[in-house]
Amino acid sequence: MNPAQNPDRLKFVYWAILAAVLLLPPLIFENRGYYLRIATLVLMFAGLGGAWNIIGGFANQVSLGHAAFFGVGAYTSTLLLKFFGISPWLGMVAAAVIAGLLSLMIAVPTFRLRGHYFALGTIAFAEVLRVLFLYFKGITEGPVGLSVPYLGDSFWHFQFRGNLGYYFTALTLLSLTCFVAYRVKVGRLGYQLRALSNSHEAAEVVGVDTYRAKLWASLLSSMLTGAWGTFYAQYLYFIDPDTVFGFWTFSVKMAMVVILGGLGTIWGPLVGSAILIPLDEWTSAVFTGNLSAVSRLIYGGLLIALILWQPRGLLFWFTEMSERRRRKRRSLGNPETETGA
Amino acid sequence: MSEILRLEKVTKRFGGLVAVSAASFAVNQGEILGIIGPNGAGKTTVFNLIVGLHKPTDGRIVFNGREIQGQPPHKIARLGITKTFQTISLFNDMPILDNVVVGALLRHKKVGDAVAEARRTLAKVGFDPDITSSPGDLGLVDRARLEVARALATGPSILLLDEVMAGLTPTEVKVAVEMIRGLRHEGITLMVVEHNMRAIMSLSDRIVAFNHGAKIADGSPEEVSNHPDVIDSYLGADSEYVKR
Repeated sequence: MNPAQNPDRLKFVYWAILAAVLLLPPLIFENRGYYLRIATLVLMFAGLGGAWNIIGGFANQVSLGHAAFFGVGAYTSTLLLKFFGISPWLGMVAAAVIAGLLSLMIAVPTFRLRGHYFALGTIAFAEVLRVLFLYFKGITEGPVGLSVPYLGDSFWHFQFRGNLGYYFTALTLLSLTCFVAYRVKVGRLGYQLRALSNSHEAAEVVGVDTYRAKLWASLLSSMLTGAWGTFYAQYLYFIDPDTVFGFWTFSVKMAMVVILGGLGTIWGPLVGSAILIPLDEWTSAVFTGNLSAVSRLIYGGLLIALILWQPRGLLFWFTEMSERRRRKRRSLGNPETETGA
Repeated sequence: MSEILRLEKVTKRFGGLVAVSAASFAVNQGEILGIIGPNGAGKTTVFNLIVGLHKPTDGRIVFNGREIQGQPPHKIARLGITKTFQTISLFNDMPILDNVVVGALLRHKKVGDAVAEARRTLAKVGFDPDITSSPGDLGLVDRARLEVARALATGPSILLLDEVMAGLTPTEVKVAVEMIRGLRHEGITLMVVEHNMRAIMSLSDRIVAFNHGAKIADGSPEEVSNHPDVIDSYLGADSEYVKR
């Protein structure tokens, strides 16, 4: 019995492979090692991409300012911990709420903008926040940055020894992100977002409240991004405005993993992240010292090559390949295929 | 016949250009109202004003006794007025079925119900309800048909069809005319912009003619086609529809 004939069985095989791939790193890599750290960062950027995808991919409203939500999330939980001793887990919830509120504020002026102007508007917002967090030194310590107070390794404090705890936290948060994205995609909102991404006017005329649909997408996207901000702060123990509100460090990178993996897909961000993050780390590690400029050049060059090769994302290439193989098998007249399941 | 929609001195200016100038006419429940006029007469602008894509500069649009001018299109769609686009504007990145599902979601909260409704609507306009291809695979006729299906799935009481027969062969026009008559039998009021005179003359209960943004005639197909201003501006004296 070939599993390819039974869609349920095929699905099970895919899930099993995915689970195995995701559970492998903690088994084969050392807890305090460099590789598990990269694996954790892969999960984090997959999650950030997944969150970004809800507005950037499904609705094709390309935001290049999502670092705004990420940074606000990171600062919210860290400040709550520093000044009030509130557990970062609760801080993460607060981060999501505040990032969500911020997205509603940003929506008012930016949702009038379309295409490139929307992207520019979101960049401006993230930059304004970066400057504000640099300016209010009394609370944020400005450019010096904030260290997350170390309270000892415990689950309640969201502080773990080595990478293992963070890896599984990231895996949980990534599952949540993918679940939300999936529910959006197959639900009412998903249809409306795809419709308006093709034409706002046509969507409106057949009854889609495009403003409201984008508001919901943006709210969910920003809340998840804010929660990931808390994760980052707890993992790195240190945040500063130039990094967490950064254009290159986060805004562009979270869009990048989605574009590389597949816009508007559930698994595209994970595929994109699994390639982009190790590639980034590898080129930085191999070309050091005088060659560090070369590292960026190679990193950029490889990215351009990948995107030129598969402009619709690597996931698209993968599904295309498996589809082609299935068709080939069928055309060969495999008797098993003919009888089906 | 009871009135369902009324335009009262509706004017639309784009900068210095007057696209529609003080247009007044009524639409009756269950009728097929044809709208004719040369290119640039303001027919599509009238449609866009009714469905809310444009705000009138002046005037009132009354639907079932309620002023609707200036409301956003999705609210007007919910009230029961929608249109098809002259420059066909499908959701090209979505499968054919999903295009129609978007429309059906207006009256169905659950996606499953909307999908079932969309399949029924597809069948109604002559598509295979289990179709899996995408709009890009369709020819012009079918693209126009899909526009109609998507609009129909919203469950409108008034449907505005903007040149759905453009580019159709005479045989295809016949099919389209039958389809539109079928919609009226279901109780849908139709407003039809069309340049195909044969089709619009046989289809319409009443015709409104426009020129330079102003209404120049309003009446039965025969009255309108013999109106001197309509002959002058649109039909020409040697038209087969003009009595000599």
